[in-house]
Amino acid sequence: MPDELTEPQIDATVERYVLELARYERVAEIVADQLRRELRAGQQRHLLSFRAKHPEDLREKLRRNRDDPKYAYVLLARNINDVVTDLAGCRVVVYDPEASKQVDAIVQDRLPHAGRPDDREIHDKPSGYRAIHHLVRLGAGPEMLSVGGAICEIQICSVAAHLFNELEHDIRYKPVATPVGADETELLEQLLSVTHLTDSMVRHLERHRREEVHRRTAPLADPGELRYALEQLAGRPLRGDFVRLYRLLRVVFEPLTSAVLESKGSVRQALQRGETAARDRNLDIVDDVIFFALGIMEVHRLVRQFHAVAQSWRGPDTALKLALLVAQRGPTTESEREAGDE
Amino acid sequence: MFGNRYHAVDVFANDLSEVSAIRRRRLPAGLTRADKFWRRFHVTKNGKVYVLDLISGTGVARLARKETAPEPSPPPSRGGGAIAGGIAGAAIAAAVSKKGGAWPAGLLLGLLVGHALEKGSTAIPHQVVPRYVFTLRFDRATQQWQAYDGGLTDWMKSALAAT
Repeated sequence: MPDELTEPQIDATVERYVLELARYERVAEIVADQLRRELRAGQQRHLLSFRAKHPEDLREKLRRNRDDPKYAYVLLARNINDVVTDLAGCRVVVYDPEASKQVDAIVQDRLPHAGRPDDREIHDKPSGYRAIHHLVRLGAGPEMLSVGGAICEIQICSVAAHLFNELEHDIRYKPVATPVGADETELLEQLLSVTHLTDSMVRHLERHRREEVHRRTAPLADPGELRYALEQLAGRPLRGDFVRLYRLLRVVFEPLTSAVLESKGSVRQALQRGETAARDRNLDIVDDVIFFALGIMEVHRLVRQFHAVAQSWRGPDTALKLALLVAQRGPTTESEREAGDE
Repeated sequence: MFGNRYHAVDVFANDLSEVSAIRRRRLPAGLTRADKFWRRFHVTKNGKVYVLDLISGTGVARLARKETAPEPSPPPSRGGGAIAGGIAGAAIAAAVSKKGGAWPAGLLLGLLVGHALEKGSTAIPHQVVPRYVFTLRFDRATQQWQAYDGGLTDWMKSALAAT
């Protein structure tokens, strides 16, 4: 079994690394550039950082692992990067922990693997450390002579996990001479719980936001969806001819979405406005659909358009049709006069 | 029609006799070429100048006010003069293809195109910003455009929605 690393061997390794430090800085920068391009294309919100390992951090790592056969001096001397795979490092911190999976997929699909068994590791350690680690290796083309073959480690984690990871690492490993007390251990555990909770809340918030955006922006496919959307926004059941209302609205809006229904005020406001307009025009038969049509007609200045659609409706005169035809005879608003005719 | 709410009207290229004439490299009265590729034309009516665009690859012909007509898309890669009739012919063919074989004879549809509901709004990526439109059908009996809310409304909005 190889002997543990001696202090002179650690010194020699660190001194050799210092001479190569610029190489690993360049490696990290190149990988970060490629990550930046790929992540921008994938539209992931993230924070990206990169660095070459500080020589003193390497020294501390070698001291912590001096008994590990993987860190044998002969292996370090042969190729330090094969042993210490995070000499060049990039970190991608995402806001939504769910986005870690997408970044993980991007790194797997788009960046060159190192070709090692530990190319990809998902860490969820008893210490609380959470991150996905990838090892990538730069190609060895003629333009990459100084960096070809170098390994770079990519860490992916959420903002909350990153906060814990960094604090936990600093407290447990630095300074070496000060052991971690019971109080600090308990506080770290509480912090870990808070970061898990934060991740969970961010996950829920993002999902809720996506669902809300979809609800508001997905086209309403039929009168039933229109009715459902209006009743949700009004907060109560509504009465009236939703088939005709749907046909009316899709003539003048594209796409017809929940967001359109509230683009110039709430549905409740539109209903109140329409109710006032119906009363002003002494309409005999009214319902919620008529109120909404009149309300949205006013605020969007669609009097002539709605009148034209109502005129095109064949068959017996419905209450909605009559209401829209009567509306045309109402006083013209200032904005309607300004519009004018071509 | 409806004032300044709408800035253009889109129709299927094969519905316009002017486009058929353009395919034969014959400009109808009132039409002048506005580019060397036979994609954009100026139309003068009632003393006002409008722009007629054959929008590449869509089968759509758009008539817009001159002051609101956007710059045309980059020219086709093939030589302009040689494909003068080709662009119009391609537009007609694309329109016929979109409509399909079961298109009701004599049905002429159009779409008035207006601005976004919230002026100055910027689209979130992958989201379409709602805008004002008005779906039309040409009534040959009255020679007037009428409102159209029939079964082809949703289809025609997507088929005629030229960028």
